[in-house]
Amino acid sequence: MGVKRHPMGELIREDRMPHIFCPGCGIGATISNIAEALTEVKDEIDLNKVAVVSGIGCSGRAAGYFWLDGFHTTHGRPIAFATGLKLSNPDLNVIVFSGDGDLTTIGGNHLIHGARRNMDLIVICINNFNYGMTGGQMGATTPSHTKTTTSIYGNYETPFNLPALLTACGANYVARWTSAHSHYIKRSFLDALKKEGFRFIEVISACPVNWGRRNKLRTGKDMVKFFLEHTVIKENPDPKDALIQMDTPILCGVFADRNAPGYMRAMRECLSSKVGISEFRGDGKVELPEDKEKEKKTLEIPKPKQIKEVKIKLAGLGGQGIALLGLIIGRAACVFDGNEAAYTQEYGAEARGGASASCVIISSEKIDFPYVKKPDVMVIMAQGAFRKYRKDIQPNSVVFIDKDLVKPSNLPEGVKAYAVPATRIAEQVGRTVVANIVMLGFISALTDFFSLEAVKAALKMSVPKGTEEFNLKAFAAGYEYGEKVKKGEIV
Amino acid sequence: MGKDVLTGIHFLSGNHACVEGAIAAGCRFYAGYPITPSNEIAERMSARLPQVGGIYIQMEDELGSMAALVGASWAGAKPMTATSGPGFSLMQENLGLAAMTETPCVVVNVQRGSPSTGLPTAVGQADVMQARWGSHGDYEIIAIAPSSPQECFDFTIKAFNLAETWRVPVVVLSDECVAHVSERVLIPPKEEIKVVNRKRPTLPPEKFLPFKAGKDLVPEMAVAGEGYRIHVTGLTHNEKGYPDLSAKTHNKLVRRLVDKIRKNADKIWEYEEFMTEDAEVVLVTFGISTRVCRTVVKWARKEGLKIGMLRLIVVWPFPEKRIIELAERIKAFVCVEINLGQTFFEVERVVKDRCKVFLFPNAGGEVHDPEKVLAELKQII
Ligand code: SF4
Repeated sequence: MGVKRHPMGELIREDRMPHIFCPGCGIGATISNIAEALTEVKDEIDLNKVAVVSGIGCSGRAAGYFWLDGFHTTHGRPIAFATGLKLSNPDLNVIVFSGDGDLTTIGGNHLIHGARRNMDLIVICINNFNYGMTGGQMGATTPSHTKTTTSIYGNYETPFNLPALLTACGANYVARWTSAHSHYIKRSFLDALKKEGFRFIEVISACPVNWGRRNKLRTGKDMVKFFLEHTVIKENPDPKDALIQMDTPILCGVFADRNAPGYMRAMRECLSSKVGISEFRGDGKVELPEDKEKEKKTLEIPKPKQIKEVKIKLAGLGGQGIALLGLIIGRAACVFDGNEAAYTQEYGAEARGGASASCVIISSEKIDFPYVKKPDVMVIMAQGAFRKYRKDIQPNSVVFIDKDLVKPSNLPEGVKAYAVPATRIAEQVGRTVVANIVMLGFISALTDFFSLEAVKAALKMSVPKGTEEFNLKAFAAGYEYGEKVKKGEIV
Repeated sequence: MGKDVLTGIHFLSGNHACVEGAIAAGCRFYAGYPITPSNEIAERMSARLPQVGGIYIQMEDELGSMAALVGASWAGAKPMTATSGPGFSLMQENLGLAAMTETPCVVVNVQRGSPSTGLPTAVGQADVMQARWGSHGDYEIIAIAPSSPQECFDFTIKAFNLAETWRVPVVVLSDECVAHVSERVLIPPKEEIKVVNRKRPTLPPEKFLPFKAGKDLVPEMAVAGEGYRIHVTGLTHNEKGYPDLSAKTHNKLVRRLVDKIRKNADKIWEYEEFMTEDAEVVLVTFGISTRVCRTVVKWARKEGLKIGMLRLIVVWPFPEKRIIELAERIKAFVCVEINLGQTFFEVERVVKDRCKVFLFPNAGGEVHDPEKVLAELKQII
């Protein structure tokens, strides 16, 4: 871009220098460590495919200094943003570089879920014990008893033990260093780069200007000295010993190094065999195999069979398949008969257990108002439903009931009731769950709301694969009963 | 497989139709968090996206869902989420980021009774202003309101096309009723579906300025991984994308973000008129209430009343020009919406003293009763 490159690495945006960090701040050094590490491997990985995502805060500015694709996002959200970025283009190496307040406090939910999912991200968490950008307030990582602008008497909260938290959540790689440990940071980052899943590197970082000076560490030098004198680096350290306290050494090292499948791999392993596709990405660059089942689909809507508009209300108890019954009727009328149909369901807490209803309007005209206030026809499958919806039965309307389960009383004037022992017939066919389909057959025999071919086609389409024949049998039994009622053989 | 466009005649709910519209428009990324009454969208997406090689991710909350959408778009995806009131509130943070960084994305807000937890399973239309002003600061988005499953399919495609054209978040203002009514949905052959993609860089990386806009005020968009080494920030930024916190740069940027919609509004506006030619009173409505109003207009016409309907398809930007034209010659507008006055105040603002403006309020839970609307209409005529 016509800009002279920094000798340290090709990876710093020189046109953004000087940076905003205070003298003695540890963030710049860590940015350099990561840039150097990436420069070292530039022949192995494509730097055009490395993206840095930051949130808000001093460390949040990091994304703006790397000469890479960089995203400076909202406070606390870089891990969520990076998740979208990575899943949409899995070829990217996505590095989240942000601060403790951003990642662990306001963004804590995304952090633990990113780790739980083992999302394929590297997260560099600069932990400077406070909110530097806003003047040095306390946060979820401020060590107990230390002072900040909002804990002038000393912090009486307990901070997060991040290595323990991240290890417990399931991150594949968890390490902690201080900003005085350049060499370790670089090596740790390069190790993380070779792995999949959620990789978390905490860098305890000098903030002399805001945290240090309130805690007797006025300069960057004081802080580096403090870090070097007050840290222990261990092989296989125990995360539970990693709580930071001012009177004990800061424990550093690699706390977790596992090879559990990262999110992308886990997703592929679960889905591939089930959907017959081996690659998943958000950017739409997956070649789809030819649709073998693709038949020449006709888009011609059959010529509507002229019928007068009919409003049907179906009521029953949860588990009786009332919703399915309505759907099949709607589908029959509008997909196969070429009429208009609008199907609605009664929602509400009560719809989960007790009596519920759904409605279908069938018409050869376009339906403007899709709701049924005064049904022409009611189908009632249970006494509980009858009690609840009796008020909706209109004078001179038609009612279909399950003969054994509904004992109608106080019907309005002129109501024509048709009764079928739907549940009993269903039991004879083989399973009571198809009582709704028996009822469908019964209604088909006694009305002309939809054609026989249409309702059979809709039925086959709407029931689980493999159960079509069984459902057609139930339908036929109900239909046969209806025919007998029609002929007056049964009353 | 290859099941991206399910050409054929279907019987679908509004929520399911939204999903098919999105996939037909090229959406391959969905991030969301469960919330009633939008769940059927997430459920169908989780089944359908893997079939087309796309990504469904259930996030930890709506803050993260919306952030993931912005990230996905910058990796080249056409992303979508769906939610309802409480979740839409949480999404406002990163809707603001999307507006500021000119990130194409689609948010389906299935409105329910509100405020707060309100009526999770019943209808409302009270998020109109939230769609427009929900995040802090001056910005413009586009909102589009379907009234049927077929429109859920068609308008979701439109929403993606608008998002890609103008580089803004587009809100599909659905509602519980539209979401849950099932009707015929015609899905045309793939070749007949118009799909628009964002403008791509026409200059090489060393000459490209990611936030320099052309005459239409919309910049070309490079995404991550293409060698452009872009920098994208929610801070006020210059054409290069770098933070520049001067008042001058801020004014230039924010004015452009707003102007790209306001000055192009005539290319975005879309509305439907029903019997307005000789109408003396025009009902202004959108979403499910359109169907109530159409019923009312038909009944009123049978009684010889000169009532018409202006139905907003695109709710934001608001169709000021058409409202003014009609106001010049009609006696009154009547706003029929399931809230206590939202587009009503917009109509009042635009109409000034040209004609009367009435509101038939409804706090939510059910649609307006067409009989009552007609009765009330007769009182004011
Ligand atoms: S306030 Fe602290 S963390 Fe922020 S730049 Fe200054 S020294 Fe660094």
